[in-house]
Amino acid sequence: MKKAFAALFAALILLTGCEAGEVQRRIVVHALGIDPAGEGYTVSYQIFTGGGGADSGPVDANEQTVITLEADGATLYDAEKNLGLETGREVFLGDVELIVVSRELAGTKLFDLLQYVGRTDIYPGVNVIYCNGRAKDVIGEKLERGAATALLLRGIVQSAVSSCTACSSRIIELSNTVLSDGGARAVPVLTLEKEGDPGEDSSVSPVKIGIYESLVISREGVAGSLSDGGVTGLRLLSCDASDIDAELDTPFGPASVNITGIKAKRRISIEDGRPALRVYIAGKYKVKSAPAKISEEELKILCEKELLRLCGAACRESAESGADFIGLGKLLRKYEPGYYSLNSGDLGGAVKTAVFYVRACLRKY
Amino acid sequence: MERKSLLPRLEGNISGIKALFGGSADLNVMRVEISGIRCAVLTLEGMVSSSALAQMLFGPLMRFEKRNASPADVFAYVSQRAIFSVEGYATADFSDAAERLCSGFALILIHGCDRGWAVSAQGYEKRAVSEPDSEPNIKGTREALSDNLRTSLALLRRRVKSPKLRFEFLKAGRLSNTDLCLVYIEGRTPKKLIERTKKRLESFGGDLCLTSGGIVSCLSEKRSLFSGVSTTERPDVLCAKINEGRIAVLIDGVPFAAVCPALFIENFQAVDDYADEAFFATYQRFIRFSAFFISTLLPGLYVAAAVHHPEVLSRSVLLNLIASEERTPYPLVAEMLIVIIMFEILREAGIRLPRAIGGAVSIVGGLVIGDAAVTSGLISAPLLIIIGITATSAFVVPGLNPQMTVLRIVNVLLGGALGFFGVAVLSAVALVSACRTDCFAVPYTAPLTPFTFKAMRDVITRAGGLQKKREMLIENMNGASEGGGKA
Amino acid sequence: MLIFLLARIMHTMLYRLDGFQTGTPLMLGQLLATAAEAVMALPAVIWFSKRRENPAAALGAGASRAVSTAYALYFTVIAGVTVALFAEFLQTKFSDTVMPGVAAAILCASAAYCAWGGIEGLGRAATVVFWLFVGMFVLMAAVSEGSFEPLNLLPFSEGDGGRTAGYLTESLSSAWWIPMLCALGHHLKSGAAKAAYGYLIMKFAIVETLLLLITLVLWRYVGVLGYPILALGAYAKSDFIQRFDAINMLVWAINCVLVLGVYVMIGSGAFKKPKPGAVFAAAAAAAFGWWQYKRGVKFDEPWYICFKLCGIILLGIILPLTALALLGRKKENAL
Repeated sequence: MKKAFAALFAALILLTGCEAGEVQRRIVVHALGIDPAGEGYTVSYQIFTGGGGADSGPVDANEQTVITLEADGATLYDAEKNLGLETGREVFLGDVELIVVSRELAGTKLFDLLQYVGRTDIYPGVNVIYCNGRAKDVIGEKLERGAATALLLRGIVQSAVSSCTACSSRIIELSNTVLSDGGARAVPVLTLEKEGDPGEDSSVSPVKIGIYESLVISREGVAGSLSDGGVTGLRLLSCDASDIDAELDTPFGPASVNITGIKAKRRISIEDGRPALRVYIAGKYKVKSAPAKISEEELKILCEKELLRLCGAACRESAESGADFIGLGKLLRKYEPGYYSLNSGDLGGAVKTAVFYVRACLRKY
Repeated sequence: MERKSLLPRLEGNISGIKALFGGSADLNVMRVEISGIRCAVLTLEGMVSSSALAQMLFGPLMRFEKRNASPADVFAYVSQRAIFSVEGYATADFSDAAERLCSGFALILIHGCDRGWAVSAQGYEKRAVSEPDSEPNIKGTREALSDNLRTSLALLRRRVKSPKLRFEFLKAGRLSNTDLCLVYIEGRTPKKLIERTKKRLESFGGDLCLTSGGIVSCLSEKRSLFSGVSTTERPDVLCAKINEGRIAVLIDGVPFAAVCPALFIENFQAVDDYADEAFFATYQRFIRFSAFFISTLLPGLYVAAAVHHPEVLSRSVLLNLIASEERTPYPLVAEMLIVIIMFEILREAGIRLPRAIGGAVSIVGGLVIGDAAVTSGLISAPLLIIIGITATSAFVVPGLNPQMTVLRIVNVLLGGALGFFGVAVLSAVALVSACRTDCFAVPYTAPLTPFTFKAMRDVITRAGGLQKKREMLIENMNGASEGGGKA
Repeated sequence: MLIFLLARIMHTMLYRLDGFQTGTPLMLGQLLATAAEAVMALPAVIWFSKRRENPAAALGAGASRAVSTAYALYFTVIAGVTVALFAEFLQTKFSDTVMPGVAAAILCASAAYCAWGGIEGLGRAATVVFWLFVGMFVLMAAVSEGSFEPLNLLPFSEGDGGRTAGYLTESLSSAWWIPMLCALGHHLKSGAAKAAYGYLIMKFAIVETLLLLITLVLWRYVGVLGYPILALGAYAKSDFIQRFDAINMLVWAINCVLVLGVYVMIGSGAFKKPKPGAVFAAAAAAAFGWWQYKRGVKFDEPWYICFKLCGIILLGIILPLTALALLGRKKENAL
């Protein structure tokens, strides 16, 4: 019986695993660019092409080892499948660093995208960003900085997030806010403009690359847009900012300060039948450069005013769009459940009528 | 078997013994006459020392003179008055006489006397006490147990100068009749353990007992991947083990002693741990534990991750892996198996060949073939690195080498076929296999599981302080004193 | 105790909830379920405080045999469904790795081997696997990129009563550790009371911590991934290990073999010879599991919940109560 048992076990092992491909038979995708194509999509895949014949030394994704391939499909699954058929290899998405979506698709089919990435190997902590123009151009751009575009772009997004000029737009966060709670989220928009005639040389250096804007996305679609200052205000109002750089216009000339150690507290209440959010911001400011004539007190007041200005920009966009990207809905649900249950059907109306009280108190570092 | 008694006739006895040995050429019969009585001294060639015989036996025998001496007088002189050696036994039957001869005794037969007298005169050639090759160390003793049982006993006695150190002799092997010696410390080793060990050894069913393997399998309770009986060739290790209440079996002709019960964690302890500072010994233990897991799991996990779960690998590892695998002609699993088998062949060759050539084989195999294989694109460089790390790690825990080798190959097969699922299933089976291994009611995995807190100070760490605090009797490592651990 | 805990963790792993919503209703449901289980386990605990033998033994030889068969059937069904759910998990998340049928067969074959060694080997291995879990969670927490969102933890509201009741029922039906306690209690060296209440405390702490973590860190995203414990590793990423899903699966599979080994071992109790019994029980579990996988079994199917609850009541509560009553009558007669 033992022999039969062992034979059965060996047969089971040998019968399985045939579907798995060799590692070199997979296409490793570093970045996805999604553009509209009629009712479907054109998906650009920045992929790793192998060692390029290098005999020794470490291999990494750089401009010599990556290329961009395109595939069309009615759905993102179809596009992936088509890429696999075109190349005769299995598409591996576990190494995707960034997903760039054309602005034309903003607000539509977000559910499709999130559902797709949730069911693939893509790391849920990957950022999804929009871009001005075609995503294909962004993904396929050669930036002449050594590393692959995907890694550079990921670095740009991370820098923007850490300097509070953009919000993190990871798949999990988008899924939780936009799709689950009826909330909204500010998704960064990447701008990449090139110098000279694009037709002549595809590897010219871009003059303008970065995140200067964010789109407010809700379940219904694009609800508005925020400048980078507005995003900083949003981060302050969401208690999600700890360190920001500010440029101040003083009567004696420009000044640069770094506001650090920011702590914010939020309290929500209902006043006159509408939500009232009180935000208390505290922190320290560090002067980087300032005109000699300006006093410490004046600088402090200017810093506080700058914070209020940034918050004001976010509040205005919130009131105009009615999109809950500040997270009022969650606050109301937790602290004012009665009001929330009455108004959960029209949260946008509640957001539009909300009042904000912001107080900033800074001290010198 | 009926034991045939010796006869009063000398010739009858000599021919009887000759018949017993089937006319074996190494049986020497020397006839002498002592005070007019015909006698014979029987020995086996090479088993006795000629000079010792000449000095202690023939000299005194020739000096015996008595008028009208009877055979009884001669026997009385030989057995009572003359002291030839520290050991002497009367033999009354042929079988016993043959056994004595085989053990290196000289047998004196006297015409007219139906008994013989066996005198210890062993003097066969033996190896000098050598270094423990399989368990080398830096700061411990340089002496290893000897092929000669008596020498090994002396090595132990020199280290434990206490009357509580006990040696008990047994025989094993229907044909070889090998001398076994149970070694334990009275009061430390449970009586039950001694009795059960004796019972097991008495049930040894083989014809020959030539290696420690037969004794180990005789003492093991269940057939399992792991064994609850270990072996050592170091007298200091053996003394430390019996001091913890274990029992050891020394085998004549084998420089290894079987020790039971053995624990899994003992494979990670070394003599030098107790010579070094505690913090460093703890670090070394950590290295050994890591080496065990690397050696067993790394190739399997590597194959499983590369073939089935590339999402686990970080970008740089994955890209390097792809770049190097693109240049090799074989599937990764086959490549891994080829390299593992190649390594095993080289290792085996290194062991079997003389040391000087063995070293050359390692160089040729490791450097020349390895480099050529990578350069020619037959084998990928990362894979060779993985095998290099694995092979080196395997040498760190020599006690578990058979288990690690088998598990490594099966892990590669299962990892290649079933991914991490296969590795997990094998790990679970190996874990349960280790956990269910017992030796004389002491779990092999103690004191990790069942957990025994007091014993842990010499398991993962080697706590400092007094030796007394570290020691714990093996019989207490069943978890019972800690309130369970078994469901 | 750790075997019970690992069996519960195995069950929790195989929750598959699309659109899963965590939060205080579930946490309250878990609290109530733990309190109820503490009461439900009392007959078994009292029995083992008096006698160190299976409660079925008090019923006489014939009845004892019938009870052993009932235990075997009950745990073979549970083993089968566990196999089916694990195969479903593999098919959903690792479809290219292993075929579900092969996985089911290999799991059951390994479980049969583990069951041969008896409960001691499994119990000792359980300690190692438990610490493996702890190590995995600590590792995932250490490299997690997620952050806590306190606003996700909402207060309990009136509308949550239905969800709490549903979760309570489901959680109670997952309390087959009580029949397991009756089947294995005589092996427990530390005593049934210590094992039962130690298990309940640890289970409560572990499950509530998991629920809290999932609620605070992942919120509704758990519904996208489907498996709550697998989702715990969603944010985990390090320079050495990019994704933790497969690492999670590795530990799950080890646990699955071990837990199935225990079920198969209890299942083999109906046979006179344990080794062929274990093979037969494992084969039955594999066949049943494969059938259930094919028909798309869900862990919260009404028939399965009813089956589990009936088993818990009959084998975990009524059986030790009856044994206690018979013991009391015997003592009265003796007086």
